[in-house]
Amino acid sequence: MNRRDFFKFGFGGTGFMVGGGLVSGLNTPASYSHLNKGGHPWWVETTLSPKLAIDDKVYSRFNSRKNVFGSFTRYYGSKREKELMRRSEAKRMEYYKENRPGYRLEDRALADAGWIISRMGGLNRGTRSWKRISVMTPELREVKKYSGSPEEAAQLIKAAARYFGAATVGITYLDRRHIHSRERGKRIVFEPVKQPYENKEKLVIPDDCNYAISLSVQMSLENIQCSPTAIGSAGSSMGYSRCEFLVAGLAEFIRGLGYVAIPSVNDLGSSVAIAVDAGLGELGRTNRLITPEFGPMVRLAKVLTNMELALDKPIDFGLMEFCKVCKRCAEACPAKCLSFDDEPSLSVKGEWNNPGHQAWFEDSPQCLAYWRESTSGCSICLAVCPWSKKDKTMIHDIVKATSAKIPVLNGLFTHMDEAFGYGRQKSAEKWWSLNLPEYGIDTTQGKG
Amino acid sequence: MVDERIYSILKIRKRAWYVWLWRVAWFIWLVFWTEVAIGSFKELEQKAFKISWTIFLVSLGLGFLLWLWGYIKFKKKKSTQISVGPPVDSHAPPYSDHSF
Repeated sequence: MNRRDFFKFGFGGTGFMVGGGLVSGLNTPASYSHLNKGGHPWWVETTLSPKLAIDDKVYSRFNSRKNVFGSFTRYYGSKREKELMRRSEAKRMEYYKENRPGYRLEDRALADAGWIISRMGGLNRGTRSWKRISVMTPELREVKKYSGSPEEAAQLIKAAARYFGAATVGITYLDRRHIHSRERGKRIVFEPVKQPYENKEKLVIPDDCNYAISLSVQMSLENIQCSPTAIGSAGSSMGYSRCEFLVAGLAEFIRGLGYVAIPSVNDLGSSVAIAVDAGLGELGRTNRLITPEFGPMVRLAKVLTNMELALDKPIDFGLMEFCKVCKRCAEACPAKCLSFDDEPSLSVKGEWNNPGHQAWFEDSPQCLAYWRESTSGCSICLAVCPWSKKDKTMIHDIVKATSAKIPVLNGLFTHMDEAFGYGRQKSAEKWWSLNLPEYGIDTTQGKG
Repeated sequence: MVDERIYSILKIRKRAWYVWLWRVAWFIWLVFWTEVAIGSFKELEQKAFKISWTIFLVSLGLGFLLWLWGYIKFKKKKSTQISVGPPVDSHAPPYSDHSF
C-alpha cells in the first residue's frame, strides 16, 4: 500500500470514529432534552419489569430488625464488637493527636452537623410525621380537594419534588412486599382506614395508599471522594438531611392537595426496590441503586400516597452488563464485603439480606465493622464507581451512551476509567478550599 | 488578475479530498481533547486533565510535524521543478503531492 492509499483508506476508519464521536457528542444534556424518556437521557430504555428477577414464592416483606443496624451485635458477635469499638475509639483519639486531615475536629463537626435536619425525623416522628404538620388542607380552606387527571397530578408532584430538592423523581404502583413487616418493634399493616395511624402494637397504612413516589437527592461527589474520612461522611449526612427536608415538604404539599402522604427515608421499606420499580435506576454490584445521571451518588427517599398518579416504568441502561465486567467497587472495598461473582444471584449472604430477589449481595456486617474501624464511615464503593461522574465534559456522556448500547466495550471503559485516575481518593484537607456551590452539588447536572 | 498592491492574497494549495477530510478529522480530534481537558479541569480530575491535555498537545505536535514534512517536500519539489524545467509527468497536477 502506498502512502496515497494509506491516507485514503485510513480516512475511512477515522471518519467512522469521528462520525461516531460527533453523533455521541451531540447527545450532551443540552441536546437530549427533547429526546428523553421520563427525564432520562436518550440511551436509557424503559422496560416492563426490572431486569433483576424476583422469585415470587420467596420474596416477602422484610423485618427491619434483621437489617445490619438492628442486629449488628448478633451478626458480628458482642465480644468482637466490644473489641472493635475499643479499637475505633483508640484510633479516633490517635487521629486527633496526629491532627490527621479528614479526621480533625472541624471535619467531624461538619459530618455531625450535616445530620441536623435528618435528626428531626424518624418513622412517623417529627418531620416524617404521617399526619399534617402545618399545611392548610382543602378541608381547612373549605374547598374541594385537588382533582386533576393522574398525568396532571404526576406532573404537579414531580415539579414540587424538584422544587423541594429532588434530583430525580419516579412514580410506581406500590409493591407491598417492599414495605417492612415490622419496625420499631411494631407491625406495619395495611387496613381500610382513611388516615394512617400508629398505636402500641402497629403502624397502619391506609389500604388505598397504592402509589409510591420515589425520590433521589444528589450527594456531593467532592465529599464522597474523600471517603473514608469525616469529610466523606459529611456527604452522606448532608444527603440524608436534604432527603428529610424533601419528603417533609412533599408530604405536606400532597396533604395540602387533600390526600394522604406518608414520608419516608430509610425507614418503612426498601427505598432501593421502590426506586428500581419507579425507574430511577438499576441495582448495581454494590446492591445499591445506580442512576444513569448521577451513578450511585444519590440518597433515596419515598412518599406513599393515595393520590392517583401516572406511573413510570423501570429502566434499563445496560448497568447489569457493566457491573458484570467492572468490579471496581468490589476491588476497592477495604472490607472486602462486595461480591466478585460474575452474575447476580438469588442466594443471600446472610439474614441481613432480604431473600427472593436477584442481586450481588453484600456482607453487611463486614461493611459496618469497617465503618466503625475507619471511625468515620465509608463510601469508597460509591466514589470509585465509573458511573459517579460530573457532566462537565461530553466524554462521560459518550461513554455512558456507548456502554448502554455496545456492552462489549465495558471492559475497555473500566480500564480507561482507572487509567484516567477517576475514583482516586481526594484530599480532605483541600476540600475546605474548593469553594463548592450550594450543598456541594451541581443542581444543573442531568437536567437537560 | 488581482492587484496585489490592493489585496492580500491567501494561497491555498490544492489537495486531494481525503487530505482535507483528514485535516477536518484532526481538527475535531483536537477540539474533542480540548473539551475533555477543560471539563476534567472543572471536575477537579487532575490525572484525567493531564492525560487529555497531553493527548491534545501530542496530536497538535504530530499534526504540525506532518504538515511541516509535507511542506518541506513540496518546497524541495518546487525548487527542483523550477531548476530542471516542466514536470515529466504532464498528467500530475502541479504542486499537489498529497502530503500534509
